[in-house]
Amino acid sequence: MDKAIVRLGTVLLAGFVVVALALGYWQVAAAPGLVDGPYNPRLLAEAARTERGRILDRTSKVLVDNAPAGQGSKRVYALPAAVHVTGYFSPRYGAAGLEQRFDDYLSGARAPSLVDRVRDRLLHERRRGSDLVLTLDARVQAVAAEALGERRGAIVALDPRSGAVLALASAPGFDPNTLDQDWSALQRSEGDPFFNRALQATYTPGSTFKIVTATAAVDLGLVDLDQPFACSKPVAIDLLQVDCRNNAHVPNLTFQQAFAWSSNRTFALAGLALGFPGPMNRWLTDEPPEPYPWKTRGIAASAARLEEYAGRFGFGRSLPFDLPVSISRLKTQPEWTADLLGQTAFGQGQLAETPLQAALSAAAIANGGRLPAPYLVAEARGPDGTVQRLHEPGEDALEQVMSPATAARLQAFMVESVERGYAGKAALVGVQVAGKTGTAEVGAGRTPHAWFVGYAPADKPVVAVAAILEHQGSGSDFAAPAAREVLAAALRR
Amino acid sequence: MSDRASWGWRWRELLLLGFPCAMLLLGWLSIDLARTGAPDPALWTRWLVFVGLVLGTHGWLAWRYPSADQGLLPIGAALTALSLVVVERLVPALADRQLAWLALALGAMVLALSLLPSIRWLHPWQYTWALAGLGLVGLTFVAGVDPNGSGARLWLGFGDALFQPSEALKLLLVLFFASYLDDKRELLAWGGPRWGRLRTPPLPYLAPLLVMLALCLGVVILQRDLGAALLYFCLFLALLYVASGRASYVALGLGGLLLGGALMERLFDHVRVRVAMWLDPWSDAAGRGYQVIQALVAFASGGVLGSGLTYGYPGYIPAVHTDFVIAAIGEELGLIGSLGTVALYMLWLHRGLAIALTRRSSFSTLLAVGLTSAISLQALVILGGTLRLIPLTGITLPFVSYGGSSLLVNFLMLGLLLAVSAERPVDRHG
Repeated sequence: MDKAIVRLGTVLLAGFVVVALALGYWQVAAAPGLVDGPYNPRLLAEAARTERGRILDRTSKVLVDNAPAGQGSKRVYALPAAVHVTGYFSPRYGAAGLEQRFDDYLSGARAPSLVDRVRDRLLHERRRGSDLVLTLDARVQAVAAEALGERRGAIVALDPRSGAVLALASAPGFDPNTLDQDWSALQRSEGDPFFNRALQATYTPGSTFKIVTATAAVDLGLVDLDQPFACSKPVAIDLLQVDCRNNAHVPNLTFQQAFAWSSNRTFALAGLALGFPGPMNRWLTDEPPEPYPWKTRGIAASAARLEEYAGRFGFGRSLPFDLPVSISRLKTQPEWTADLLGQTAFGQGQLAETPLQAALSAAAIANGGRLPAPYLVAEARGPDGTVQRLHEPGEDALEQVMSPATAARLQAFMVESVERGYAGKAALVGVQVAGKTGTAEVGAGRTPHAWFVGYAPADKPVVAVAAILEHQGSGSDFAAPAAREVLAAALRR
Repeated sequence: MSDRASWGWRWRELLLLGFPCAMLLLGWLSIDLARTGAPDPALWTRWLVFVGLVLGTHGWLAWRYPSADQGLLPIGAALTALSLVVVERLVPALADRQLAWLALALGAMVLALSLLPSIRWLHPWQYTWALAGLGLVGLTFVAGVDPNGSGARLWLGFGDALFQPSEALKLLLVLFFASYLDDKRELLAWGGPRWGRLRTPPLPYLAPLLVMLALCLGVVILQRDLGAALLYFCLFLALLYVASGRASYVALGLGGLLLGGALMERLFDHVRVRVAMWLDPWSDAAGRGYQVIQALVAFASGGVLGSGLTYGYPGYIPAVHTDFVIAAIGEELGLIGSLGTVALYMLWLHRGLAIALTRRSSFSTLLAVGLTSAISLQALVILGGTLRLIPLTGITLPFVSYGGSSLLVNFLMLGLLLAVSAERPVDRHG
């Protein structure tokens, strides 16, 4: 019997060894896949047990806080107007905005120090996340949201010297405090309140894009700024008729006046002339020497130059930012045609631009020609008080878009535009404002989008702004006054 | 173990009992500290009750069974301490109940050992054991209750207390198999008719045994207690093999098991679901595969060190404090805890078979083998099921799962094994 007992023992022992190996497999080897898999309810439960970090504005005013609710706590959003920045954090519907993108910090998963992580593991104290300190200014944000009101659109304000975003408003919005109750209604509601228009929507920029065309023309030294030219008759570019309607009351004008009065014909021709030796004034007039050079030598050189300058401003590439940003683009079709290039040069065509990009374009002028890197989250403050700076202001300017001299010239254009041109309603008492309006045609029979981009004070800029109101009408009448409120609020800081 | 003469007191057992006592105190303390930040005032009293029970049993053994094996009680006590920690963690309301069951179980063990004239005395009552077990399980058909809504009426209610007859049947079957096989050992070893190279058992001599086994299996299968059925059958094969020494019988038996399993899979929906959820629980992750998957996720979440007591989420697993208790251990105490639990069963296997290998009467040997393998096989059936090594069949993890009748029967088995080990070794073959 003894032999049989030993054999039985061996078999049973082998059974336990297999069990031990299986334990090792499930607890170690196969563990990562199961833990991160879709069938693990622990992740949410763990999140509910964590005390999430707060979100503060630049003056340490609390934007997002926690309040006790049931066994755990819930998020309280003190400034629903900033919902597209803060996003939301819902156990039922997940997270969005900074709540999602900076979850590592807010949830404490990225504890500032190794000691903290070890202590977490051993002592199981209620995990506390880091607070995020934003560059946002709650007051400016509130003013921006109010300026939009019930209208669809977006306003972005930033400090042109550092790229620090002061306000980022998108309308319609929603109240993240009541998200769980409102969810299905919001899903159905018109205007897609979850959509962050300030970063994700791409609009036809209209005349605000003339900043890019003008920058190229001036920076390349292709235009004689002192010599006026006549602009009273339409010009045909292929099948396209471009007129002088905008500047009808100033038929004889300088390039600066053409900018301030937003002359479409001037800018269509300027765009087409970018690839040829200047001065281009001779082709901007009513009676140019026949034929236009691009008719015989093509548009490739001009298109390349416009693309180059638009690219320097940020078109065609993804901008580094703390929240996802859509790419602004010049066109959708692969090849340039003369009429498309002409339309693009005055801000129509197939252009599509995010409000953030528009604000950055103004900021580049304000910042002496350097495109600042935009950012929103300044620092993370750990529960133990350690501060981790996430951005150094102005440390990584993206690009020298133009020479400082060109920037100074463009600034004069934009000041003229506010002081004498179409952007007059953006003017502030006692402060010189630089700006450019746009009225973006969005199809026959539809009210155009109203645009304004600009900055203030012109001589020592501290805030640049872009405002867009969808289907409201002219930039002068709708966008400029809205942007003015935001500029004023930012200057009161 | 025959170190009675040299020591005089069961020092080794006493020393080993320190581990379960310390384990329980540490476990309960850390639970209280995690929950409220301070130990519950009743904690010390409850702990002292456990220490008193264990040391009382130890003292009684030193008096009446000084030469009995000194490893078994510490193993049983360690598994029970683990059980008390886990029950306190998972269902605090049941912890005192489990402690009361422990008192009852140790009391019953001491009482049974006091009344038992000798191991040999158990031998002639073989059919009584079998019929008693059958009768108890049969009672569940008329008076069974289903306290947790599992769909199986496996319990008998006595007022507030519940008793699971299939647990008692486990012990009674060990007694029956051991005594019956001891009688027919010579005949079985000689073997029955030969079919080519395969020798089948001498069926006429096995008939009463097979009839009893079939009855027991039939009854528990009708009760949907598949885990018990699997355990009984494997227990039978283990003892048949040790009694006969013939591996061919085991092969036949395992063939029969697979055939029977395949047949049941065809016939019964609940068996088909078990097999399907074993092969691919993810095909119905939110439904019938939920329990299996949540157990695996719990193991995975535990990792090597575990989340720490009260810091995991074993509550997501249905029936976690009974059949799936190892998943809770794996999650909160980590691989260290789950492997430690398995190690305790390995120690049990080692002690039990060491007792069986000490030369005594063949009945005592078979009894020791039966008692040892019953616990080991039961642990393997539920651990294998939880870990997806075999289809899941619900059964308690011996000593660890919450459950009074289970604890009671397991300590009776532990007591019998102690009694066997206390027998004076004899030279079996003259």
